[in-house]
Amino acid sequence: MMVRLQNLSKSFGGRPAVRDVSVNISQGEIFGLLGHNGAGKSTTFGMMLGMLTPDHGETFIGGYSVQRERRQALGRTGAIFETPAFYDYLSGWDNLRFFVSLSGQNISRARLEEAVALVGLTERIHDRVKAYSHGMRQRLGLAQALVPSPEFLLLDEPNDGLDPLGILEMRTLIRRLRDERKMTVMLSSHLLSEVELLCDRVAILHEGRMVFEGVWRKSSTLWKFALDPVERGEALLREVGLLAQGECWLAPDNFDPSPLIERLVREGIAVREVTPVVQTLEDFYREAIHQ
Amino acid sequence: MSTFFRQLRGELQKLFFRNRTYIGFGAFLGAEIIILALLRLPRVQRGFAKLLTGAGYSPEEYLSGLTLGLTITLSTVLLLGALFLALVAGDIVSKEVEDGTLRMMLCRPVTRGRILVLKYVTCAIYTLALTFFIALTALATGYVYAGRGGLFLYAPLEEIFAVYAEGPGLVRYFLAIPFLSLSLLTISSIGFFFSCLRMKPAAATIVTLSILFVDMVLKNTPFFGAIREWFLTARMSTWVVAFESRIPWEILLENYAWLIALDVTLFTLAWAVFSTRDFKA
Repeated sequence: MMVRLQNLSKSFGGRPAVRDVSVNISQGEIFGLLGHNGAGKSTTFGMMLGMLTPDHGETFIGGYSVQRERRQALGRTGAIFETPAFYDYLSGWDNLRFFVSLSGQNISRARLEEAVALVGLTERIHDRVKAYSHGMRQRLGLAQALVPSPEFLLLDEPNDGLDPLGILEMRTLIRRLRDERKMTVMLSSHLLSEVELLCDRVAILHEGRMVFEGVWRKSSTLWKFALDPVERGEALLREVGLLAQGECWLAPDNFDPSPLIERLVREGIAVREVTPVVQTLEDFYREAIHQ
Repeated sequence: MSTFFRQLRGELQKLFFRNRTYIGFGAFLGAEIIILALLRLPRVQRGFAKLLTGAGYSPEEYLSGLTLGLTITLSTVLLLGALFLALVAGDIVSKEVEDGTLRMMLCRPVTRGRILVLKYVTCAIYTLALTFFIALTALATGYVYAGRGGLFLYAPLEEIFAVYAEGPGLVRYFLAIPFLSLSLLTISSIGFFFSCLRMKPAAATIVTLSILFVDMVLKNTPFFGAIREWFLTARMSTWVVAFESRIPWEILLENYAWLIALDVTLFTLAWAVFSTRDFKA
């Protein structure tokens, strides 16, 4: 297990921010942490990076406890936490060199240049950060996280401030890091469509509690039927085990509607429409936090 | 280069590449020029000459660059030094917390203790650089203005009246500067301590200055004359005794041991607070 969050809890001034959160992330997995503002994502990340001390629980990265073996645990971690902040009066290169020096490794110029090229900042790296756009700061943040060759990458809102092309590049880069370097990635994002495209598993935090953790797949377990006569048609749907959910009907996974349509026709019921309602991560997220 | 020195180079680069760092250097140069301009006033020159003649010394010999350099240093260092050292030291941690750059540092596999040591050493180097800058520029402007000659010092509060030929005077001058640096390091230590607490950079600077100014006012209040040596700024003024004809090493050692112990205590308290503190966005 690359990352293990074990019963993490944290309160601020008596108000619980994170309550008993446990997550396991395997090596090479891309894991998404979702939640509204104030749901506890940043507090969880803060505890994972040793910036906040948990009231209860512990975080392990690569088998090392962040709370007790900080250097070993964070030595395997690259992170962008919140909006990356830099020294505006220094160049991107000087900023990069400074943050990398804190990793304790003697990193060659070639490796720094490689990271700069990977995030597409080569031409502007010697400019002062003051002149950087938000997206460029985000890229510089990613470069400083990648230079020490971490095994685990923690990205808090990596798409924040990026244009559509930048978002696409970021997605491609994260996939490359996972596929080529077997890097484990944990990310949070308000762009649920990005999480949907990138993540193997997600966890949803709501008011500090984890309301879902697991594999999420785009599914079509909801179906819409237009039948005539309605009453007889709906009675038959109930009879075969479908559950009414608003205007839709909840069906089991891998539901095949063909036999049902044949039966409806046989019973003299006109079938005007049978449409799967695709549930997006956004729908799923909304449901999860309202449960 | 070892990891520590690479990291220290980065910290120094952060400090010395920042325009604000040089306000102190610029202010001292400005103050030196103003003092020299005031010294051109006949009334001031007469007062200086009267003091020397009254003690039986020739103003031509002792109204020199060396005397002016020391006079400038004495009159500017405590107030302006306090201001600019408190500004830099008060910023050193709290500004990074405010700007969010400390979060970036804390994401790294570096202990909080190491971060604090790097920052404190940076403060100490800045203190040393500023002190030597003041001492050397004061001496240089003094020499340009008044040329060569002996050293004359009258410090009534410390009860020192000293007169030296140029050579021994320069030796005493450069002997006193490291002690002055140590005195000023106390200001940096206080600023550093408050910078590590949960407060804004400006608040850390203001609290540091307030402590020093209150201490200075109390020290100069006649009622407290009997306990004058208890005050922080009195101990910080000990560097001047390096100009006494027989240097009272026991007083120097006692007071600087006291100041160093205070620096160590402040650093330890800062570390205790910083290492257990939560850093929220």
